Amino acid sequence: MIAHEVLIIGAGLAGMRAAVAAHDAGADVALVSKVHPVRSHTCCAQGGINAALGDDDSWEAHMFDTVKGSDYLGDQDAIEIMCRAAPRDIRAMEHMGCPFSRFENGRIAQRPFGGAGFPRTAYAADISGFVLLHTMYEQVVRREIPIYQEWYVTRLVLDDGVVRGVVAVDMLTGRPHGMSGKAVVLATGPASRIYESSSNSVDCTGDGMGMAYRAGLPLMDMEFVQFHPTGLRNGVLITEGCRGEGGILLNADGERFMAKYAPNKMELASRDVVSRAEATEIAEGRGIDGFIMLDLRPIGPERIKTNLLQVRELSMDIAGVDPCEAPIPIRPTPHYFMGGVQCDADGRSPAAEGLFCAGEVSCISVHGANRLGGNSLLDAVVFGRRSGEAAAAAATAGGAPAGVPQSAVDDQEAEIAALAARDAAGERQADIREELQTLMFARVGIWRDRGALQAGLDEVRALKERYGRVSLGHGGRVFNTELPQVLETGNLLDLAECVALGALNREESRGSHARVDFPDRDDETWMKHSVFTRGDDGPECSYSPVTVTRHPPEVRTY
Amino acid sequence: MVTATLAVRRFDPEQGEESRWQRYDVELPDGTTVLEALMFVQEHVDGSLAFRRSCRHGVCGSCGMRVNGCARLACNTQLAAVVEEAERRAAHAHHTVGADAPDDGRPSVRIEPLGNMPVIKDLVTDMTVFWEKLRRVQPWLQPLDESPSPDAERRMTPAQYAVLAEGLMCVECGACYSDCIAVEAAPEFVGPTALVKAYRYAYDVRDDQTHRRLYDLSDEHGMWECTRCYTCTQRCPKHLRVRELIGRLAELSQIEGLSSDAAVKRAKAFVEGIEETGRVDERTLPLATGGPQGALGDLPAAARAAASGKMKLGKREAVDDVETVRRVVARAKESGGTTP
Amino acid sequence: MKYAYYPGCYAKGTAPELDAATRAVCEALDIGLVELTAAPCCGAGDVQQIDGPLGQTLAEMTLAQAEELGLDVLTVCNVCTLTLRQAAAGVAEELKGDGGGARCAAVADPACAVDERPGEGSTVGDRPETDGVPQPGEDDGDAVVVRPGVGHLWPASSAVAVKEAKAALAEQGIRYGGGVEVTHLLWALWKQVGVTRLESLVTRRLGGLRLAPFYGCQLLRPGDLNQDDVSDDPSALEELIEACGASPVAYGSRLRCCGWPVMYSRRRAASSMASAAVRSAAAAGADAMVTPCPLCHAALEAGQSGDDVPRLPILHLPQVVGLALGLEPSRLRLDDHLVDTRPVMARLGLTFS
Repeated sequence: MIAHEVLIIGAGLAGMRAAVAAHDAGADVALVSKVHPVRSHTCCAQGGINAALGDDDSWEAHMFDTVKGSDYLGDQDAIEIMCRAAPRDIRAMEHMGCPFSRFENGRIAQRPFGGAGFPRTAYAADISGFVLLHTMYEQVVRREIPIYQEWYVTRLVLDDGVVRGVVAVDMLTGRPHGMSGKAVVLATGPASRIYESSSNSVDCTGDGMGMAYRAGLPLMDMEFVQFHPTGLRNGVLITEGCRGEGGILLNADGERFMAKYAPNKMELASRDVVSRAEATEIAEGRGIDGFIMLDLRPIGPERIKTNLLQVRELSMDIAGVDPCEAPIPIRPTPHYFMGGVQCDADGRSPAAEGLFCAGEVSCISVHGANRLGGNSLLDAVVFGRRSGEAAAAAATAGGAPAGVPQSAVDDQEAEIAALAARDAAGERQADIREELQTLMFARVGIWRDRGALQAGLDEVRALKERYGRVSLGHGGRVFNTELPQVLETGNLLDLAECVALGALNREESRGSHARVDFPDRDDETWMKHSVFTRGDDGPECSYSPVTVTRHPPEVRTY
Repeated sequence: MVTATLAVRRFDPEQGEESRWQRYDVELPDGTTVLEALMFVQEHVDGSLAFRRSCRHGVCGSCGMRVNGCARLACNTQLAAVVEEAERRAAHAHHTVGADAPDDGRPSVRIEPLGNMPVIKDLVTDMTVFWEKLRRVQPWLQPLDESPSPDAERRMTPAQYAVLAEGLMCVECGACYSDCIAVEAAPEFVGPTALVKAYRYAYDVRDDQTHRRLYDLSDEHGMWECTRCYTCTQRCPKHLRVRELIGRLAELSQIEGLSSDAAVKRAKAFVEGIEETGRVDERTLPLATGGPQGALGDLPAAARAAASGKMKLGKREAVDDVETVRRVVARAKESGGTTP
Repeated sequence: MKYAYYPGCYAKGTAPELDAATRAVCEALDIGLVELTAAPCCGAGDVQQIDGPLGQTLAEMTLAQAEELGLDVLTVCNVCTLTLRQAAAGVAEELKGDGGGARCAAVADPACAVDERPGEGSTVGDRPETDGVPQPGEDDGDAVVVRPGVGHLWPASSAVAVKEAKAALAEQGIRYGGGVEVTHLLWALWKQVGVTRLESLVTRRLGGLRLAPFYGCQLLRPGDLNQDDVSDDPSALEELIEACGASPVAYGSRLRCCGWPVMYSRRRAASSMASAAVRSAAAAGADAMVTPCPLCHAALEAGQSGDDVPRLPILHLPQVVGLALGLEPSRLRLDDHLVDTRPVMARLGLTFS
């Protein structure tokens, strides 16, 4: 029986930050990840990480921008915690060795980002997430924290509301194992792969959210999915940092159309505002083959080659365009899950003792209805640390671990065997997944309306029914990559159902959730979090209040 | 559309000890990458095909594999480009070895796992040794002051960041390591990836263990075992000039006074020869490099060479205007480059 | 066609047969050679590895001499080719002023003049003093540190080497202004002369001779400096072999490394590489190997010293071409090899006169 005091599922920035924090707090901690840590999705984050480092900046200003950016759905006490902690947490990353781009005087450089009143996004060229990830991996290696890499976690094991551990399949052998933990931290990242053409890595399939949901834990704010304004044809992202450096958006008429939608902030308005603007322009026929043009030429080739080197490469490799010479075709792309497993500012789940979460899998909520660029990496760092500390405290207190019962392992083994035994002419996971992704994009996209949402929900349910007949085409045990794919598709279906249901129920527009039939924000009825728990026939939706401390809701314009 | 025949080297440990080729014919849209082609096969044709992938745009390093004999990232390699390579190879098939995947008149894009590593299944390799070698260079910041003020970052100038920039971008995909000829010849060689990581830390102003890092990598299987074949630079899918970075480590080690390695002695023999005649006297290299013991090992070859007249015993002629060369070398020695 | 001929050290040392064959072939093909008699060793990558600026200086001396003659450089050694090309590229970058090349911005921002003492909380100021050696920012504004002392760090860029070389050369009244192309005899034969013309001049077809072409690393890689052929799948040597009437042998080691750069310093690795190449060629049925590089030649010959390694003559490229052009083996000094070439001569019905 594998046993550790703290198990951390997912070895991205949040997971590894939690691991280091838990280790330094004296706990016996292990990481479990379905990929090698440096392959985690964090490496894709380009733009930067926010903190009020500047002498003329303040955590209060950062907090306000975040609250406003969240369209007043963010919990302000948690936002305050995050913004207060940001400067020290980022400097701590730098002390651990994270390299940052610098100002002339040697201090960490910062640039403007969408929705921020001050240039407070610290960055490392256009590979910010990448360097943070590698720095944390190196700190994990230094501490010799055990890593169960390429172990695919399939289920959380709870007993009477108390965490006992997880079951995970070792990809090398195909065998499931029980892993006992007194505290479990979910840091499994996003689920934007419910959509086709997402910015997410192929394996961002919301496994942690799915497993928590199936274990009876509440998910929150699932309808809020952020569309990033500048994705390439296949979903790969072009960082917001481009716009921070001076890039502009043009429609087919060569017009800087953001003047119509956000006359003050222009291209640096909040992401949901910009995405909707682009979607409108495209829908009204002012796109070029369904794309908007991102023109970086005003930035100048020198600066592009220093600060946006990766952007240039991606643009050339994927779009066949050199941004020093021509604009890049982009469009709004599903990108970030504001929603996730409900938890507090220590990552603690209200429904399970010993269960914590951090990073994109979590919903505290600090991002509310829309996340500001640069706050995701910050979220991962701050709440990764806090949840690691809290998990360590929870694990080292109390008695011996109860362990994971053999029955849980046997159940998993039986599930695998059943999948392999099913008629090979049954459903293929790839077909179900692709149909799901297409329908979600069409029905539960940027612009939503009741008819489409209801149809979407029905279609998801029909797919779930077909999923009951999915088979594993290949029954080998060693590195059977199809097995996690089948299980991932199951997660996607559950989560898509919550997203569609939440979007259908929420009859207002707020942040990234835009209802054509309910175009206004309705604080009186809807300033509340959606909460989803698993019922017999699918998700059941309830609501929970938003914590307002300093900033009563205002009209949100840029 | 791009039409291609993929010839994938399959291996299933549960099905026996031998690997085999399996072909898949695909027709996919323009712009399709090799990874997208493999994903299409795995999702819609043959779910048993195993390979690693994640970000599909060249930052996670998962999808390292050999395509047409050269290690790369599948996700930033265009299928059309490798089809062209296969057609070119087929056109002069009598020059190149068939690698036991006969083209049969249908040039195929060959896809194989990374080299210099054991294969787990299909295109999935065991990277344990690779990760261990990275660990060997202690890839974490080691400042003397481990507890600076929490309210101030350590300073670094833009110029100092720029020095790191190239080394930072390594995604640890293993492409350079896979095709490194020195690793193949000397499996304990630490390898190019670890040396890039060492460069990244040796050149980080905030790190205080430069000397020790370089000292550790001046051992038998460290930086001097690199054979300067430039395959790493050629392969790097992130366009790092890997060999050049290793060379920078070597240079820095000289500034740090770490000059006892045989390779340094060999290089100094070049300088001595150049100072004397303008050219290296390659006859001095065995003794200068390997010392008496080394030269002893070369004795049979040297004797044969002398006997056959190959040794060309006798003083070497100097180049014209050798005085200028001597002044240049003397100046270099003075300013502390090549420690005397 | 006329070139500034740079024979390199081995061709003037233990491999005079290479120099002899080169001259003979160039004469036969009307390729004019003006030898750079004052040109020093290029540094061979060895010098560059322990003293970048000295290596750059030496290489630029050769380039400057060619520039004075108004000619491009012709080499007969892979390592000379790459080393001189690297030096030339460094100067070209400096002349362009963008200092860093397209891919990676490993260059100092010219506007950065950091000379303030670091503020509180920083540890940069804890460095030991460096005895009057220029500190970052004390320079002429391009924040490039020249030759720092122990404990301080050296911005890694060829820009430093180029800058220092410029100063060192200036002291000797030399300046390399840029613009000299460096090519290798292989490329001159393949591209400038061309296989068609060469074939038409062949008087002694080397029929029945199976030759394994060994390209050698530094003539092909890195591809951005070596664009004469397809680096990962070249065909120049095979086509020239065929033009000479011989048969190129396909074998696995044709693009591998001979190990010369670690010869004597990493014996086992070097001999493993060299002997593997020879075995590979022999197993494929080659009568001999042919290489454009005297360093590969030396390594491949030395690599046959073990009893378990087959004996395979190693021929220089111009020797093969020279034989096909009807030149005498002794003029091509085929009798001056460590590994006896008589088996090859016998195959062609030739003896040394």
